Amino acid sequence: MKQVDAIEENSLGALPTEVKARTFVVIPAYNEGPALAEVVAEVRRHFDHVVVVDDGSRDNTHAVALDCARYVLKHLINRGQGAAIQTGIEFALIRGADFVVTFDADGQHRVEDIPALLAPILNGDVDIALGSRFLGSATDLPATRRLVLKAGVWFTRIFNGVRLTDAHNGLRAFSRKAAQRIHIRQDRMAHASEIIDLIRETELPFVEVPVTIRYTEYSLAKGQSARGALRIAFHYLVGKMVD
Amino acid sequence: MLNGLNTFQIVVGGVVAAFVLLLVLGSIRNLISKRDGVIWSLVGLATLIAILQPGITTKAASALGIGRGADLVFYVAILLMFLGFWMTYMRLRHLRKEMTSLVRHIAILQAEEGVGKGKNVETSKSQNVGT
Repeated sequence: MKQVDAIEENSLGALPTEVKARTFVVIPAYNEGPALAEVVAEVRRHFDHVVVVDDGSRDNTHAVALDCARYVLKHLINRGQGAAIQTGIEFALIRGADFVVTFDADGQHRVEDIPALLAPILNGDVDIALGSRFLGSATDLPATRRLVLKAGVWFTRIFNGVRLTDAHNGLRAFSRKAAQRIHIRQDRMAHASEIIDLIRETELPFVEVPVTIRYTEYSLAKGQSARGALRIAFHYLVGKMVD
Repeated sequence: MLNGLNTFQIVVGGVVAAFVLLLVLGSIRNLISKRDGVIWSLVGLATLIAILQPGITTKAASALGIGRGADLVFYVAILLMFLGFWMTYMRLRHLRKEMTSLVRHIAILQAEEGVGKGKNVETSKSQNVGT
């Protein structure tokens, strides 16, 4: 296709246009003004149905999204990333999406990884594909962040009973069936662990797919510290007990 | 009968009795949930008994292996406080969920189509499937 991304274009080029047209990419965004335009533009080069869910941002996220995304949904009040993803998924389903991809707004994901996530779903092997940075590569991942993520993987093994290499990666793909059956109730960051639970409960077949995460100063600042991770664990466990 | 009561028993006992009455009336008129009404009415009644018959807490305490009646009252008060916090927290969670549904509903109803085409959008030609 284009020469700009010549190396990685192959897989994206191989993805049938018809599949791209039936894929909705949901990007939750909270105060992501600085990075959003570039991220959305990159995704839209390949997928038209880009849904940005502005989660009550106080910066110019909404204006930026209107300028570059295909659809813009606005949470009037900040409800958290889990809530924003669920809103985007519901919208995509209403619009007839056959595949739903969740993609982070901070530029840590690469659009080139999407075909690899969609492939096993297209083959009919699985309904859910989860991106894994530890199967793939995480560039410039600091040691402390790696530790937090690894702790998250173990947390998932203990409390969800699911063995994954990377439990907290925002890059995922769902078949329409999976998107309909996965209903995220954890409004904030604990949705990542909750999704794993829902996968187990619904018994939907899933696979982990290696992806590359680009760590930048910006995306690292947006990510979770160890303290944040503890708060998330608390929300998750309370949700597990009472919901 | 009131002759046998001290000032503390009359004042605090009266307040607690009024509180129990409000709870009972409130749950009958569905102003509060039946569950909350029953739980806090029982707590109020137990408090009332402890106020009118102070000796009873000592008996209950020794039956449970706790030294003094006042200690038992103290422990129970702390436990009830936690129960109150927990119930409030649950209520808050419920409210948050309702708020999320509302916010989501509005977001989907008011979905906007982006005005810009983004940069170098190639694949966006007439592929509005499913819309």
